[in-house]
Amino acid sequence: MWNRSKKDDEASSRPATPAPSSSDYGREAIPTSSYAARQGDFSATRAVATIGKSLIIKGLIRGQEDLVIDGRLEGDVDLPENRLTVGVTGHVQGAVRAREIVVLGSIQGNLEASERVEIKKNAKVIGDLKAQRPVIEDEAYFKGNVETIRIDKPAPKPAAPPIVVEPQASLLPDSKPENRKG
Amino acid sequence: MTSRPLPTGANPPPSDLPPGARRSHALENLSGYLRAHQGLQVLDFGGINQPNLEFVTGLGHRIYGENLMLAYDYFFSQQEVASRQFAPERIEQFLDRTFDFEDQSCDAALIWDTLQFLPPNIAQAVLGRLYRVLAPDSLLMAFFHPENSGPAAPHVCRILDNRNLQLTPRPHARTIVPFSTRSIEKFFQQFKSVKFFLTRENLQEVIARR
Repeated sequence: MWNRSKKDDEASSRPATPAPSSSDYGREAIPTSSYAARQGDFSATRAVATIGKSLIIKGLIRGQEDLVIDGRLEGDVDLPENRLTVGVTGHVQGAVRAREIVVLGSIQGNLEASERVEIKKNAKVIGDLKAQRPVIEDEAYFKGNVETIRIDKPAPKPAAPPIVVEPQASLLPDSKPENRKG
Repeated sequence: MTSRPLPTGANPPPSDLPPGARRSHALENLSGYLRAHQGLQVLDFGGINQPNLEFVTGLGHRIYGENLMLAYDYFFSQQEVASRQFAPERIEQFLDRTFDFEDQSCDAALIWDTLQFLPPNIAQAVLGRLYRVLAPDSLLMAFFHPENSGPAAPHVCRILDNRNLQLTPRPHARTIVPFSTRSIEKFFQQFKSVKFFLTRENLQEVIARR
C-alpha cells in the first residue's frame, strides 16, 4: 500500500554516486564481495556482503549472509536468516524479507522481518511493515501499515505424572522362584 | 503470552510521566474503544512515532502511519499552496493518493491537530474522505487549538498510556485556521455524534463517531 510521491521522485533523482568519504574507500574496494563485519577480529565476525554506493542492481537478491546496501537496488531482497542494512546512501525499490532490517536510507516496498525492523532518523520508508519488533525513530519518514508479529511462547507442558514403577515380582532380588513339589 | 507486554491499563504515577505530559479525556475515550475490540485498522495521520506504534500494536491492532502535513506539502505545488487555489481534480488526486483505503475499511483515525493547519477546503475534503473510509461506529480523534491563540505549528502527539499524552510543537510554523466550537460542530455534521473535551489549555479535543 504505497505510492510514489514528490519526495520519492526527489530521492530517486539524487545522484547515484555521491563523493565517497575517505573512510569509505576501504569498503568501496570490494563492493560486492563478503568481508568481515568487524575487521581485525575475524574470530567473532560474520560475513557481510556490501553493495557499494556506485552500484545499481536490478533483480532479486537471495542468500544466507548479512547484506549492506549503499547503492541502489531495484528488486526484492530475501535474507530470511540474516540482516539487511540499507545505508544512508542506499535505496531499495522492492519488497524486503529478512531476519533484521535496519534502514538509514530509503526503501519503497514492503518490509517483513522475523525479528526487528529499525527505521532510523532521516530514513524514509514507504510500504507496509511487519515485524516482531518494529522501531521507528523520530524524524524518520514512514508511510504504510505496521503490524507486529506475535511470537507465542509455547504453553507450559502439564506436569508429567510421576512415574510409578511397579516392581515385578520376578525382578525383586529376594524373589526366588518357588520350588513346588508336586 | 506475547513477546511484548500488553498495556495493562494501569497508568504510571505522575512522577513517571515526561515533561509536557497531560491527561486527555478524548484519549481515554478512544482507548476504551480500542481495548474493547480486536484487530482494528487504526490510522495515524500525525506522522507515526514509536509510542503510538507500541500503544496501538500492543493492543493487537494494525496502525497505518502517514504525516498528513508532509503529504500535503509534497503533493501540492508552491504556487497552489501560496495562492490557496486548489482545483477540485487536484484535491481528488491528493485524497486518492493519501487515503488509499477501501470504503469503510478503517476503524479509528488519529488526526490530532493537523486539520487546523490545512486550508479549509482541503481540510473539509480530507474529513469527507475519512468519513468514507471509516467504518460505521468507528471513532475519529481530532484536536483544535483555541481560536486566537493557537500555536504556529502542528504538534507531535505521543500516546504515553491510556489517558496521558505528550504534545510537542514541531519546529516549522504554519498558518493556523481558527475553529470555534460551533464551526467544529458544523465541520463534523455528517458524523453520528461528536464529543467535546475542553482541556485546561483550552484545547478542544474531539471524538467523532462515524
